[in-house]
Amino acid sequence: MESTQSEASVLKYFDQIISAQDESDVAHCVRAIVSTLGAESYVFVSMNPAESPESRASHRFLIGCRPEWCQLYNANKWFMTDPFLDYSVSNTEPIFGSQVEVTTQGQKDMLTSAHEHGFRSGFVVPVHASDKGRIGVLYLGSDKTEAEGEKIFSASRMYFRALAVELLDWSIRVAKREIMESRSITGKDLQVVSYLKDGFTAEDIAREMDVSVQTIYGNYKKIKDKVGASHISEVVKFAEVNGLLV
Amino acid sequence: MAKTLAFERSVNVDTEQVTLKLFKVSRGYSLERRIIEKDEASAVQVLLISKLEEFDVFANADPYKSQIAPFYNEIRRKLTDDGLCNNR
Repeated sequence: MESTQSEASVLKYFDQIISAQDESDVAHCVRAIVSTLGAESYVFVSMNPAESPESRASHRFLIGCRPEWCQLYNANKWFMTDPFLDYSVSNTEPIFGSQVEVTTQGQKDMLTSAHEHGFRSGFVVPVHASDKGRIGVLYLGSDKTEAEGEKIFSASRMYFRALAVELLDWSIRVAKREIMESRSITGKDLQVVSYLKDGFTAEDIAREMDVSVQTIYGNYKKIKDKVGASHISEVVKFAEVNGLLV
Repeated sequence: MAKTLAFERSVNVDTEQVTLKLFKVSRGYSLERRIIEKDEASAVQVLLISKLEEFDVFANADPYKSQIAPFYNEIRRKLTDDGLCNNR
């Protein structure tokens, strides 16, 4: 980054991501950060390999690049073979586009197409959440040559890693909020489920929450109805799969 | 402002379900294009629309454009009714 003023500007946008109302606020901030740091395109992918019908999408793409590129990527189902996604599942160290190992024709096609759509040079930043299975990948692109682009990415590596972490945290917060709102799940419901996950009995929970055991059984019924579960253990599973107890 | 749903339509194409959702958001519109596969794996693309041109490029590049053109047309109408134009 070239100046203290630019650094202050980037930090201001980081703060705004934390309080963003919706993804348009987030996208606005990411665009500003990415541009200030010298990149031109980005895509943030949040993945949840532990997919279930009740959980979030397996791949969610926040598009900050040429829109047609994202359509091409999905139309060809390149997320099934994307070498950067494969790399990101088991690594957290950022990787330049030129460093990735390409083995199949499909992967070669993907990279050729990426080069033509704003990712002539690229930098990929994986990030993992504390709960099992949630992964984010920040793709950064530039129309500059690999040598020029990678020099720019390298100079701001720390900021790009911080940005990927903020984006994954934000996507997890949003996913949790949307599930809770769609099923009218309250903080109190989650408190009960959290005790259950820790092995507490209804009597234990009643004592901890200073209510009667009957009240706790009443809570069980309400939560089961909200989730559509027949047994309270399914509610605990639901909460775990959807990251509600994090 | 809160994110509000302005449009939602789904269609089954072969073994996939394609859903388009348009949300009014604090900085314009957000388009979600969701594909749910037969095995329930899904992919959601989120496009923030501040200019009509961005929407047009996205819609024209959709591999299922022929099947969901009426949805895109309806969304485009909503965007233009709201005053969204190419030079905004």
